[in-house]
Amino acid sequence: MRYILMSHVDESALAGLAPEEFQATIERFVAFTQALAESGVLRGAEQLQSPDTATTVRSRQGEVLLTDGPYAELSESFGGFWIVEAADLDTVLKYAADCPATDFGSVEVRSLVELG
Amino acid sequence: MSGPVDVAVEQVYRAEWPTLVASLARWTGDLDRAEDAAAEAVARAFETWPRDGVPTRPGAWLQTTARRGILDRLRRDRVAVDKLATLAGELRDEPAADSVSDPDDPFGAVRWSDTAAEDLLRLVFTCCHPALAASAQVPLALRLLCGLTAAETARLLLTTESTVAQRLVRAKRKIRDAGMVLDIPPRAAWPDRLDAVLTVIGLVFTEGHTAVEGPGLVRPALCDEALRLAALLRGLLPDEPEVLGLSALLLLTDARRDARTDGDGLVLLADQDRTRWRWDDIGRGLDLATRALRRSGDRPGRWVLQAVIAALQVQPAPDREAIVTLYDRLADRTPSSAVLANRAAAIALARGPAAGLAALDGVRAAPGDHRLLVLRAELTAELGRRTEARQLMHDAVRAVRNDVERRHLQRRLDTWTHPGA
Repeated sequence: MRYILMSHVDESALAGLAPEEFQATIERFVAFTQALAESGVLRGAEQLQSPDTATTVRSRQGEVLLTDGPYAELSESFGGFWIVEAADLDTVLKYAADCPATDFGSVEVRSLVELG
Repeated sequence: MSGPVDVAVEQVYRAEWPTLVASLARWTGDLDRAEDAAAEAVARAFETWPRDGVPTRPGAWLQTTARRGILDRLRRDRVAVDKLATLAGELRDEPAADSVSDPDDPFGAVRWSDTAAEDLLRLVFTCCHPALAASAQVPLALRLLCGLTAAETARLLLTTESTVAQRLVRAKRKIRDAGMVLDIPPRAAWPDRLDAVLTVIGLVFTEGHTAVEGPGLVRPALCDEALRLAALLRGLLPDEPEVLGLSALLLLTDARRDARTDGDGLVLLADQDRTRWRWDDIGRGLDLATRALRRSGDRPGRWVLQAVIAALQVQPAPDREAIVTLYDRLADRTPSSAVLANRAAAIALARGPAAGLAALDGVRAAPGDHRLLVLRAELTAELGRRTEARQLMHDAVRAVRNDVERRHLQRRLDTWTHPGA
């Protein structure tokens, strides 16, 4: 089964870190991703630019509406994801618990719909 | 349905239900399918057993009927061809399930019990998986382990049948779609997972012991279900101190059930008629508490600690200081507002109301919980601060939602308002 780990991080908590702490945190994210890759379960991972770079698109009655900013203003925002392959949820929950994002927000785990 | 045969059928069904669902869940790997098939088999049993008599091995009868139902359904459902082939193959390998050639003893070869305990344990752990909301864990446990229908569960939990049904559907969908494995977690993960299981059983009992709202203080059926679950778990894990502890706590508490009300009033522990306690259960509870404590070494868990406290509390002259020490340790482990309130009450009994009130400093009640108000009111009244006590008790009366408790608190308030009345 494939799962996505979505990192929702409180940007202000990250911004409040001292430069060396911030650097250490970035390195933890890199190490976390490397560990997943080395154990052969990683199927993809991306980091997103910050939520204030987002543009939200909606179509209403044939009219396209653009909004500057993310679809919802939350204290924790979607900042990146990892896609992993695992036998069951428990395995993935263990990976998620190691994700540094859990310290600055949360990690949402979802299984992916497999087609065919 | 209330004839003696129906009662017998009901008893058999309730006894066999959890094993039935558990083994079908392992067999199909699909909780929904397992439960549907189990329910259909039980419906068949209610049709045929009153007429033909209860089979010699009712559990095996239910298993075979349910498994046939699953195979029939899979045959109709062409998408499931592969699954059918696998299951049909397994059915052949297990002589138990289709050795129905001898009509007199169709289940002679059945040996369910080999794996039954493991199947059950798997189901218990699945129901109480921490990835499921507690509001889903309790109905799921009542449905899958106690065999209650959504309507029965709704009555017990004082909610609507559609709410319960929705929670069950959602929980089962999550189990399937999120790839939650129907399995016994590795031993290293037990303390956490077992804790979730014990919490669910504890929740079921607490709700039965003092109903959050409604006319009656106790809902005996819920207490019975919790005791049933605790006994089930004890049978599966007879050496786990926390499991023994929970069982002991429930037995010791439930043994006082009849003495807790007098007519329509609430009777506090100190004033209870001890001849109305069930002493056989107290004996069993004390025995279990002792065993639990002995097995837990120098770090007893929260259920063992509560069991030992309950064991001390049934003594004619309880060692008040020992109870405080146990509450201290419990509060170190689980500093919930309920534990801190009980600890303060124990301190008040041992060292007086002022010490009790001091122990309540900084303790905040969970929203809608009136018990902290009651305790503060009682201790304040004992210190002679009547006006303050009346205000606190007044707030408690407004917050409480159980009718028996409310009458009790109102009476206390009346005594303080009209001294000597």
